[in-house]
Amino acid sequence: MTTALQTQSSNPRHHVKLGLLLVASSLVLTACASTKPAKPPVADTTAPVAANTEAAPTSAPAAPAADTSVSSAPLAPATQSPAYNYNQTNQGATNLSPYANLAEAGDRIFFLTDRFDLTDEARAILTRQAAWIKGNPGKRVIIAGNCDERGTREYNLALGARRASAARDFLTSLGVSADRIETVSYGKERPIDDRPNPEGWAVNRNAQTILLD
Amino acid sequence: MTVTLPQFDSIKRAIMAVVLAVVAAVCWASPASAQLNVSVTEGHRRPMPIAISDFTGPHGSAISAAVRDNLARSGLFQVQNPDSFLQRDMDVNIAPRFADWRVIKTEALVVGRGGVNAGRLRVEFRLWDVYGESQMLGLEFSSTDENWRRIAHKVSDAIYRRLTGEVGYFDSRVVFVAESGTRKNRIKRLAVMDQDGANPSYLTDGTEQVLNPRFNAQGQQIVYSALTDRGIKLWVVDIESGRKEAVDVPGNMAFAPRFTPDGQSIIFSSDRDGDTDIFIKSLRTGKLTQLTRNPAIDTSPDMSPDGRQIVFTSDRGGSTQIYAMNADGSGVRRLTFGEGRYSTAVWSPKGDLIAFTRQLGGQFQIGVMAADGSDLRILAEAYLVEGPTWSPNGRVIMFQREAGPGQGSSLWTVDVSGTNLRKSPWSAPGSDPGWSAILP
Repeated sequence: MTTALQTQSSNPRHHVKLGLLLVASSLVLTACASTKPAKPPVADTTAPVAANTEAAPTSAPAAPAADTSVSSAPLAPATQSPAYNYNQTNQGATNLSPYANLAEAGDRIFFLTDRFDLTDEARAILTRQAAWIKGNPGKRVIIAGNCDERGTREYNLALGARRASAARDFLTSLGVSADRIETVSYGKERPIDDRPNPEGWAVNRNAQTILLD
Repeated sequence: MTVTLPQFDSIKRAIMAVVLAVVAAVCWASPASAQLNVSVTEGHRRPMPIAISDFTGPHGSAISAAVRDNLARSGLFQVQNPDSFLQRDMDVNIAPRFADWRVIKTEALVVGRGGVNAGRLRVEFRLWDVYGESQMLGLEFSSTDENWRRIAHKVSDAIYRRLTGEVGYFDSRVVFVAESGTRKNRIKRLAVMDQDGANPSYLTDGTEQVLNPRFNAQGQQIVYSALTDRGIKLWVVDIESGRKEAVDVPGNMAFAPRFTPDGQSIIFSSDRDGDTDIFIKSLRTGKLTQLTRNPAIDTSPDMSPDGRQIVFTSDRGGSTQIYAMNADGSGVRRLTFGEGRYSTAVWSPKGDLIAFTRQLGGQFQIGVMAADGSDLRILAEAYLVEGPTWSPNGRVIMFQREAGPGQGSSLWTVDVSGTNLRKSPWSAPGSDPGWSAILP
């Protein structure tokens, strides 16, 4: 059948997630900024020495207060960028993708109620999955479609199969070989969120890409 | 409630061994004295007051208790409390003191006794019309001692039939999915029990998630689907031998199986590349036939008792609705047009009604409609109700029910008139009930 790949720009979950992502990444940035320059307060006599070696994040060293001018200087010519060291990821020598594993690429995409078309967010995650799968030749995956509990059991098995197939079709459209992807539906039988409310249902409407051994 | 479940062997024996012979129809009432009748028409009705005296002899009081429970659960009878009985010295062969029974305003009275004859349990009983002062029924059943409960169900069915004019449903079993574990890690085992929750037995060990089991019309086999990490497969288990056999069909997603009424074939749905269609597979010849070819979801097929039509769930029209087609897949027509989403259609045993699940306004409902989709009525509604199955006489519908969000699923029954909604005596978590025919 033809799978309608519709853009879902009006997905509120999408915006919430993006928002969370932004918050999360800025947290990471602040953490980096604050921990890197922080020096153990050697001279601080009041700090309990034995308690921890890693000092609690303190404020970054104060910038020089006096010089507020902006100076400029030409940059030196750029050199070739170094080849990406794919082996630095923990997946071992076979991982030629930028992601350590499927979970890092994002192994679950989410769906709207009774829908199986892919949201922008789902496409972004699947694009990263495709990069991981293509970077790991020889590995096979199974995509499991899941549904919330607000449908009848047999219909949901069919709906989950549609979701898994929609994800599979998108991966193959990105060049992943179809024979490396199995699909299955768990219907509403395997929820990952046990909240019986719209938030929990939203989490349980998903397709998960799982590495096959 | 904690239920200790016996091993498979005992159920096998129970099913196998029964030869319930009606040894002697002692006496049928003359037509003149047969005014005593329970109205089973829809709408308001008054449950008939009936007294079941304690049977004498082996299993006597247990048999009486089982009969009382059956009749009371049907909603058609007001079963009198034995504490109120005035006459206690009951003898099955002596007419009761009717005046004593009129004092407690009972209209029907059952007197019985058990005995052992040539190593077999023999149970005699009489049904009396208290106001007409006449016998309505006198019967005797015999079987092995361990089948005393089935005898109680046969007695219940005989009383039910005599007083309602309809065949009973008490000597029947229910296959279902016994649930345990957490919501996120649910263990689902195939189980069978008597319709009153007695004699439960597990047929699978819980390593697979069992879904939607159904008896064949002969009651000897169960078809079900089992979900594993890599797919969902169809299985047929033979109750007598305990032997399980996989039904070989293409692909890794075959589900929603039912036997055809002749027990020779299985209709089911199978998914390929996100497209679920309906198929029929002959168990005898192995022949597989595709019945629907449509990019929409077609699932939950159920064949009419006469074998001529199949109802099924489809979203081919944009929303999930119930459709019917001829047994060969031709002549597809839509049956439901109302608000909401309709699914899991099942034919009544007589083929005159179709029970279904409807989703409407954030709730789930169980309803019935005529075979052409008209005269739709809703019988039950809750956060989740799903998967109706008919009692063998078409009087009662069993389904799974989750009263509110996060509450466990359990088995409930409702009268086809929409009255008498009650929880099944099997009070542990359960889902996907499938009611058998009357046992042979």
